[in-house]
Amino acid sequence: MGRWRSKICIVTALDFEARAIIEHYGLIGMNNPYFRVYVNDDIMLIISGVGKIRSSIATTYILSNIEDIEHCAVINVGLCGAQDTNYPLGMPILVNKIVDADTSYEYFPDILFPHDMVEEGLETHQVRISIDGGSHIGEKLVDMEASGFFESASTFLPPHRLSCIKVVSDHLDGYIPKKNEVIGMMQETIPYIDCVCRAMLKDMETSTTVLDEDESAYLGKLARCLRLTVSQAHELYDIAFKYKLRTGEKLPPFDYIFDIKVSSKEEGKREFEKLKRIFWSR
Amino acid sequence: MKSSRGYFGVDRFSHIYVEERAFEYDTTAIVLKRFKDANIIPISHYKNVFNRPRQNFWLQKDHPNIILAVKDEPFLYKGPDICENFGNRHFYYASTILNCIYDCHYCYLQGMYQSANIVIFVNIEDFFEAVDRELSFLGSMYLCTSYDTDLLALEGILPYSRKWIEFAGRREDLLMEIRTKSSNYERIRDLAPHPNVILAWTLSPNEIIQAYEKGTPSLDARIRAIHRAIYDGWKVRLSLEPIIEVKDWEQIYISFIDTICTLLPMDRIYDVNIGVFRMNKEYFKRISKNRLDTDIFSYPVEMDDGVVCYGDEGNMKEVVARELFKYLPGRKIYI
Ligand code: SF4
Repeated sequence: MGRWRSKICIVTALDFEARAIIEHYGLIGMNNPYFRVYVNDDIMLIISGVGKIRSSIATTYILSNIEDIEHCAVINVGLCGAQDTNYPLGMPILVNKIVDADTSYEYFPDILFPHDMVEEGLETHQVRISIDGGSHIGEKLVDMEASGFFESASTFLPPHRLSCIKVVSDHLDGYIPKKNEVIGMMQETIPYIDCVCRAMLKDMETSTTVLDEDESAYLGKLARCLRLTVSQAHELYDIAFKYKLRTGEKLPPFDYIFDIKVSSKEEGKREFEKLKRIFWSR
Repeated sequence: MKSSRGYFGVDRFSHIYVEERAFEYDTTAIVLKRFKDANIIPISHYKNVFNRPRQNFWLQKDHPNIILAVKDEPFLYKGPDICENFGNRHFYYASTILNCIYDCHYCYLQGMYQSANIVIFVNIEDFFEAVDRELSFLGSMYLCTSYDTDLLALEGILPYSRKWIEFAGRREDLLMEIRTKSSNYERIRDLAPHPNVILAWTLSPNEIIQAYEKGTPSLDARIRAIHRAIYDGWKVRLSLEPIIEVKDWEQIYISFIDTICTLLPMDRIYDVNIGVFRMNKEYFKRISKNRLDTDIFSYPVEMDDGVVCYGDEGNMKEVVARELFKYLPGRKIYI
């Protein structure tokens, strides 16, 4: 199993919560020994199973296998119960606060993109709960996965790259929607999921880098040629980075260094000092 | 039940996080009334939001949110060595607000805090009590109330400058400074000037303002505000910092000093301080690694006891001071 190149990861608990998403994005099933995983070029979806522990494991599994975690976002999509009957069945809600009912830990995604969803807080419980069960519920929404998802996801990603979309499937009255009903609700939710995916992708595209891949590789080659120590190599990278920010120009050519046979660390250090002077001279 | 709208980022202050215990304070009601369309999210402690790991300070800066919280002790901190005490003993600062609506490239707050969200401590009265306690113990105090924010810039959201001024006005042994880059003076203009309150304006050349002080008023606008404050009878301090090493800095700063000293009645300026760009090493490292829209951190610097500074610092101060001496007596200049 190699590293995955996806930019958006979606975690759902159940197969029928995932079906509309798989169809909409044309995701293809992958051979995976642990989870059901579906992919296309940008998006990867994993079905975790029910409960916060399973959600946490699946989220950790998928994110720890992403090749470029700096350019990745993760979304938890699934069903929730709503205490408030003003939220009709099938209504998609963007979660702005998650509370773990067992630990009382709070989690907050940064919602820095425009959207048309209602936002609400959600509480994650270990088991299905109902209003008449006498449980205390502090938030308007209830689910069984989000806190596990968030705890794991925030180990890997910043809060603006984490999102949680829940679809109201019951009013904590014991009602369990049929599979087909859920698939229908999820189909209706696709435009909202898509809005979040696009916002996340846009954010990743606009995040700038100063030194591109070629330049980083070039600096790496220079460091090897000069036999620089790890901290000197860092310094070289830092000086080059600042040079580009300051001048807005391409890195100066140092190809002559590749012809020098540096036979000792001392010699490498001398050449490095010359190179530093060239960088700082502009 | 609210949804967020706006361009790429959502509107500023689209989310207001409120500590459960903050709901009972008047300040909370004022802010919530001001931002009726915001999503209000109850939280148990402000640090659960403010100190989350891996937040993107700079992304948040473009569309900051507000956190309303109740501050616990301590309410006052000793003034840091890096800051000018203007010859005052018992130098303290109080931060009733953390973070700022402006986005100066050189701001140390982006190195100090995980988040650009604005924390407002709603229990300002507890800060007042703490000042009174210290005052009765120390006998006098020099207090800065706008260090980790720009208090006057936020006056439209919350009248904290006004509250501090009214408080200080009734305490003769307290000398208080409110520092700002804003031109919001009109918001407090109806207050009678108090001899123990100093309004301090941080000024920079227009070239620096345009390049590095994103979102702040122009030099002209600040000068107009200063004019009014002086003529209304306030003690006004000019804070010429941080002096930034840019191409032709010498010319730029000399002409800047000439401009402000010509436009302002310098004989009525309370005092002036000069400071060259300096920053804690760790903050510098963090900002320079992450802030890619500025060249300010990419010039050669030196290290002085854990503080990053320019190698030319002494000369830079001297050039600016020399120019200033032409217009002001030395006793009014703090270097
Ligand atoms: S005005 Fe002061 S506090 Fe605000 S961003 Fe600028 S330097 Fe920072």
